[in-house]
Amino acid sequence: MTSPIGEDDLAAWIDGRLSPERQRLVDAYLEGQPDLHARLREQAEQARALASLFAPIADEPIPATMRVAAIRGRQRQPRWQFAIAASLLLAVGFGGGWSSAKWSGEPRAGIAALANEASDNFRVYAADRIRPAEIGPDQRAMLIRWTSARLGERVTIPDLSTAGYRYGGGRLVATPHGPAALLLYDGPQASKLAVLTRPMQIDKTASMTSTSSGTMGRVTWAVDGIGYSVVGERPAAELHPIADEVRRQADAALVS
Amino acid sequence: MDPLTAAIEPLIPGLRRYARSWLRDRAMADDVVQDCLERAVGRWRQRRGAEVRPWVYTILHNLLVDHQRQHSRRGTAVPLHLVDDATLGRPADQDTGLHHRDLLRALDALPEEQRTVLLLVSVEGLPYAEVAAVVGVPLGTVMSRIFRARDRLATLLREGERPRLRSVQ
Repeated sequence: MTSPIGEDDLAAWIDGRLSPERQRLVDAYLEGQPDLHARLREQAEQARALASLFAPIADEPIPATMRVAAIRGRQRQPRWQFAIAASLLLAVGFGGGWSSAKWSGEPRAGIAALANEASDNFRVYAADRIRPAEIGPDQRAMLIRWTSARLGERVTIPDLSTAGYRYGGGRLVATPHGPAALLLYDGPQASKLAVLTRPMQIDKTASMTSTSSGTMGRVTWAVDGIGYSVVGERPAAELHPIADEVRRQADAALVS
Repeated sequence: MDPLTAAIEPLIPGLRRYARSWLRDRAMADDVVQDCLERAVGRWRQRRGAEVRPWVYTILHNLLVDHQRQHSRRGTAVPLHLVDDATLGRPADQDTGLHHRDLLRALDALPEEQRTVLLLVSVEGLPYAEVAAVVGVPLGTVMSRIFRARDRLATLLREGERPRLRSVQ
């Protein structure tokens, strides 16, 4: 006894995916159902038209960035650099009587510049009551896509809700060192916080450095060629735990 | 060629086609494919023996669904009149006489779940079982969705022809 013809048979008939034995059965069935037969033939043509409509896309040469070797190179290289930088840091530490105060007291040009860019942008945009963010908090993916494309690095939006800050949107900003992503956060008592991030030419890896500019505190660092600066109207010491959280989430995103 | 490259690179043309059949915009679609490939390469060891093709298509499919959810509210989908032949490739199908614009309009009018299986089966040529894995539904559901998708597409194409003929008169 054979099982009755089903919609699944008809679908597979259109796609030419029936077993020879089943194909014969469905063909015989359709002989007795001219209307259905015509309908299925029409649908098979439409399926073919659909396939040919999109087919040329698969003939386009693939972008070089999509090669597995290119992707692996990007995913591996930064961690190598980080490992080398970390071992250098360790060597300096043992040789020179390392202390965190000494290391972070005199920042080198790269992240010092980044800290100033962060406070400059914070001054302009966090104070803006009309449109502080270009891309609102409901458009995270769009901001990530946009800024990542411009920075050439994957931008992540840290979740700082445990520190009492709600993400309020972001924008692409200009710096003397090229484009940067500015992420804005709203905190308790209408306080504001911003994270500025961009690729680093100098100071590709730098430990966390606290500085201030007027009443603004800034915590700035770089990992794997990407710099971060957390800035707000609070002493830098109070921003440090928030910066730790930003760093933790950024590092996690890098590994995942 | 190492196993990872050999397994993933041959899929890239199809992945780009699938992404563009959703998003229409080349740059936007390629961004999502790039994201998919980075994840596939980064998580290769977490695959644990799963079939490569459905595994990678699943990553892409989920990214496309996320992307669509985030953008549809703002209506950032590319309007049809901006979809030119350069974006999609070739002029209207010669054999069937189907007009590209009608086909795309009918495709866009399908419910997402029907459009998805239709693209994965008819355009990507994935086996039904792989489509079930990508979409995350049982095989029977895939079969019934593909059947309904084609019925609906045929109806939409018939309806779409009338206003076009009238405008010619």
